[in-house]
Amino acid sequence: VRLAVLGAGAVGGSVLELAGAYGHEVVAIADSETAAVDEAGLDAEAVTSRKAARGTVGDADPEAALAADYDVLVEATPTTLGDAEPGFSNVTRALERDRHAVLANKGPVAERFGDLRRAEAASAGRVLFEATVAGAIPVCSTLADVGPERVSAVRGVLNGTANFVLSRMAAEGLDYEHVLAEAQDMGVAEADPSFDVEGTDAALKCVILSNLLREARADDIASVSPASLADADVDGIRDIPGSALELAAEDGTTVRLIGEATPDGVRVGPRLVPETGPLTVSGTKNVVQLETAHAGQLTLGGRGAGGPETASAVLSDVGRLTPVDDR
Amino acid sequence: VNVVRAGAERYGEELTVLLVGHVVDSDLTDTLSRIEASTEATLSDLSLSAPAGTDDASSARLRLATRPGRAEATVAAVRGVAEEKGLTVIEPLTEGSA
Repeated sequence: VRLAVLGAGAVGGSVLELAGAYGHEVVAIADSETAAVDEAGLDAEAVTSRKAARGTVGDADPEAALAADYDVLVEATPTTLGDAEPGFSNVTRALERDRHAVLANKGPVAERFGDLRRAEAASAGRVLFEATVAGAIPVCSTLADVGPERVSAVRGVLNGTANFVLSRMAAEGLDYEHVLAEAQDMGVAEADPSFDVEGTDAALKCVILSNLLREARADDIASVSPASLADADVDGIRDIPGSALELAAEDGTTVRLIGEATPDGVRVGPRLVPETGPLTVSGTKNVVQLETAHAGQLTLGGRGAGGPETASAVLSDVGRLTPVDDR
Repeated sequence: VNVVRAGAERYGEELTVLLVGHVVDSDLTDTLSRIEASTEATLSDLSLSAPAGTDDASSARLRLATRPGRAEATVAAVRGVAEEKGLTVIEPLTEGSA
C-alpha cells in the first residue's frame, strides 16, 4: 500500500520508518513547510537524516504530498481545535479522490465528527482513527469488534502525562509543582502542560469514543448530533495537593484522572479509585475499560503515546484498509 | 461503595469523598453541617491533612453513610456545597456512574 504521510513529527516520522516492516511504502511525506515525494517509495533513512540536519523533509511544496499518487493518506499533523484545520481539509481532499484516510490527529475526529462522516459517506474511501485514542491500545477496533451498540460506557486513564504526575505524587509524597517540573525535565510533560493536566487531551479522546457510541445508536448518520469538547464536563489535576493522595492512600485508594464516555456525554476529572484496581496504572501508561452488554468489563492497557507506539496503531489501520482500486 | 449496617434494622451504603482546597479556612465545621443538612447522609468518619498549615491548600477525607441507592444524590449534594465554598470534590469512581 502506498502512503502519503502529512506531519513529520514523532508519529509521522515513525510511520515513515516502520511502514516498510509492515509491507507498505511511503511515497510522500510533508512537514509544515516542505514535502518529499518519490512515487517509487521514499528512502526513510535519507528523509529522516535530512530532517534532522536541515529541519525540513524535502524541497517540494507540502501541496505535492497531497497531490501524490497514494492509496492511504496518513494525517499526523498536530491536533488543532475548533475548525481542526489543516487536518480536516487534508482528509477531505483524500476522500474527494476516493482515497482512504487514517488519522493520528484528534482534531478532525473530535471537533468535526459529523462533517468527517458526511465526507466519508460521499467517497469510496474510508476513514479510520485508531491512533487518536490511547496510542498503541486498540480501543476503536475493539469497540468495533464488540459492537459499539453493545457498549454502554468506556472509561479509563487516557493521558500519560497526568497519570505520571499523579502516580509520582502518590508514590513519593511530593506536590504537584515538584512532580510536574520533574516530568518536564524527563520530557514526559511539555513546557506548556495545560492540554494534558487540564484534562483537554483526555476529553478529546472521550468525545471521539462518545461519538462512536452515539453513532451506533442512531438510525442514520444525519441524525447523529455529535458530542463536542464544549459539552464535556472537564476537570484537571492542577489543584490536587499531595495531602489528598496521602489521605486516599490511608484508605487503600488513590487518585487518577479518569475519562468517561457514554452515548450521553463525556466527563473527565480526578477520581478516587482502589489502589489495586484495574484502572490504577502507573507512570505514563494508559488503560481503557469497556462496559459491555454481554461480557461485563473488558480492560485494555498499554502505552498511550509515543512515536513508534502511535505509528503502530496507524499502520494497523492501514492494514484494515484495502486500496480502493483492488476492491 | 461498601454496604454497612447503618442502624438496627436497615442497611446503608458508605461512600468516601475527598475535599481539597482551602478546607480549613473555608470553615470546615460549617461545610460538614451543610453537607449533612442537604443530604440524608451521616458523616461517619473524617480525616484532615494540612501539612503546609491551615492557610494553604489542604485535604479532607469524608466517609458518609447513606441509604441504599442514595449515593449518587449524596455526591451531587456534596458537589453543590463544595462549589459554594470554592472547594474541589474528588469523587469515587463507581461503575456505571458515567
